Amino acid sequence: MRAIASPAVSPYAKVQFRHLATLFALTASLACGTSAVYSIGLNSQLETIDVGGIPPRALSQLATAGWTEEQWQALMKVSVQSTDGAAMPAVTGRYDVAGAILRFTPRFPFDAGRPYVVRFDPAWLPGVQSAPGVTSLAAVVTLPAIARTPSTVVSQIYPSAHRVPANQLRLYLHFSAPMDWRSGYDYVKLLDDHGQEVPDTFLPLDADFWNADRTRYTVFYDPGRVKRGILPNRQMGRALEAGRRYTLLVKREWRDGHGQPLKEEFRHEFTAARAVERPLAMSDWTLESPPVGTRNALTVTFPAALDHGLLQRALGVARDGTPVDGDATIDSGETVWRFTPRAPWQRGGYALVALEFLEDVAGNRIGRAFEVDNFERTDATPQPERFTRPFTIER
Amino acid sequence: MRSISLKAGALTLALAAATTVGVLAAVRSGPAPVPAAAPQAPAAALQSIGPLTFGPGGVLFAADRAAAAIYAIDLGAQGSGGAAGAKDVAEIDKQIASMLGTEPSAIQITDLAVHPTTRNAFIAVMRGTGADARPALVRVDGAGKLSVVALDGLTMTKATLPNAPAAAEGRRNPRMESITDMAYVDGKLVVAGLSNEEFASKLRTIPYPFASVENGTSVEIYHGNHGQLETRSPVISFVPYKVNNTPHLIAGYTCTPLVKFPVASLAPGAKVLGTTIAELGSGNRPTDMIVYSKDGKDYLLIANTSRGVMKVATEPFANAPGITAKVTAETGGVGFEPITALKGIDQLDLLDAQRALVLARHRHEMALQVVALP
Repeated sequence: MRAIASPAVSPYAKVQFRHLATLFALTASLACGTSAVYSIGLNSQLETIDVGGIPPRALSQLATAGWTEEQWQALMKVSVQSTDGAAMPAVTGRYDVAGAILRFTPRFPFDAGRPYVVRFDPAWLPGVQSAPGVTSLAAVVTLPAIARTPSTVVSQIYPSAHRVPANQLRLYLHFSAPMDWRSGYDYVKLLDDHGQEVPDTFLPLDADFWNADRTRYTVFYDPGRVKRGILPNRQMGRALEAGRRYTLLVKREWRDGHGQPLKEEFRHEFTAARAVERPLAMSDWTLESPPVGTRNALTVTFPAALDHGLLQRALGVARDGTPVDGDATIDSGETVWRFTPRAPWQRGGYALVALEFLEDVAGNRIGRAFEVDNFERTDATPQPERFTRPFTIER
Repeated sequence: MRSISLKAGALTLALAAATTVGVLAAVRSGPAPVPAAAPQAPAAALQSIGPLTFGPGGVLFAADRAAAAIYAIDLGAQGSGGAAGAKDVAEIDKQIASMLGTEPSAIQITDLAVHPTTRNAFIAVMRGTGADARPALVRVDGAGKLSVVALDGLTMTKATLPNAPAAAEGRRNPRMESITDMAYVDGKLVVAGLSNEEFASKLRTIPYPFASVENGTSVEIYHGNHGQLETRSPVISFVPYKVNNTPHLIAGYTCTPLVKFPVASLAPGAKVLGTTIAELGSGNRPTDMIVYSKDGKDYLLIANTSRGVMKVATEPFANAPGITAKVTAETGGVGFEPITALKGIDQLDLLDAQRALVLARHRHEMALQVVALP
């Protein structure tokens, strides 16, 4: 308990309240000459603001009053403390009589470290004869701030290689902990070999490009600049020029899920290579078949990196049209996919299965380059088309 | 070694079964019984709240991007009750933040929709920005009074978008699909989605009342500025509009073709060819659009990120030749008039025959404003 202020001196008893589960008392001299001692404070779980000291008769009337939110707010208003003294709207919440106290439960939990002003005006209590406002009491309650230090970092970037085609379409940033769910557009920059920002590189979309737990963020290069012949491409060219070195910068100011900046900025240096503008072909892939009777991995090597995100769900193995259970890993700069079956390989035919949306880092698909869209292939079936490459286990 | 591990389970989706799993559920956290026809209610209601649009009988469709789902919410008594109409509210972001117990930087306003009968504004808000972020819905009545809608206890039905196709089940799929816009057209909700992996838009039609989610229909357009057939430009915003008495969608894409499609063509598995009728300039994206009538003519009003507000007469839409060649100028096709009086428009909806309701950003604060239709 820090202070008790007499409203006879000041109608607003400002009490700074920082310690938990400690109620403090305010004495109100009521117009009828009597006085009452009210207590205002956070409950022990820090979830509600409780007012004690209300006469039992008034409490029982409150319990059945059926008041509107406005009526409750006249009696007890909780608001965010303004920085400029302006009147703030009441925090939305529920009012209940719980035993001997009047309880306010906010619709959303109180923020840690944020001061809230509680104004309680006993004149609005049923059966109390007093001029409203004259006896109102005010207190400031603040949940303790949670001390945090920046700890989240960019843990991985894909493509992971330091040489990517100049028509790269997207990249993935992985974080060590969940991030703020808002767009990361302002925090990702492309710097040229002089350290100057390459403007208008990425697609300025507000859409949620996070995964479900906000540890992976997808950054799309502006496809208008990537694709040849498009006005932005003709005006500005591609963001990346073959043969030049670049740095992908992730600014430290990007906030994590606790509102903290990153522990450090992230830089990934790479060189732009010649653009890849031809479709993927499964026949270009190298398959190393494992021996029969083992659980050794099937190794598939691609001539160039494939998209890390799509690779995780667009490749599989089947036998006689039946899926084969197993685990897959991606490595060597996303140029190698290894599949380890749960059960030993059997002699005979298998198939590597790729879904049509598998892409390389420049958006080229099997049989369909990003540069060449083809009407004939538009949504021919509602299911993704499958491509297969048979292989045999025989040794 | 940089590697990931994934469990390859059944290749079900790739090899045989349909990817579409429509989910219908009634959600009610209050005491009223769940409608008998509905399957078991999901445990949690909205995780997030994004685009909003009203449907028949004042039902509010609210997109939950985090759950790749759309809720159809019966607002009950909270749909009305205040003063009808709309009113200017200055610093509305500050007021909303205060009512939610926080500060403006800790909220994000995600959409604005005008109730079809009361003409009150409904504003979708995310409260918090981290793991504790929660959805909120705020109503602003004709007296400028704000109230937070209590979503608990409201009756809702839910349609979940199909799972991402995958060659293997198992590990949690990092693919998410964001919902960029929605509109209700003749018994169906049309939903535009955008994935965080494949760079492609999906338009889905969901019959309402929800029974299932149909397969998305990939949409192919000719992007005039691009000089190529463009399948991968995301649909950002669209409105239903009748062209030659036939229901169409007028859709805005990134950098910035305006495209029309017949609604009837949005069938599962169908090949859809949109007609690019205007090219509104590059380096820009449309954030919101409405259709209105003035002096016997129809117009489209488009809010853009970097090219301000545009007014487009729809009369040429029916006979506008599709743009099939490279647009060499900044813009092309159907013409538009820049509306310079409207600045900083983030969100837009039609209020009545003469007025629109907008959320406009001025310096560091946001205002709800009633503006005359230009």
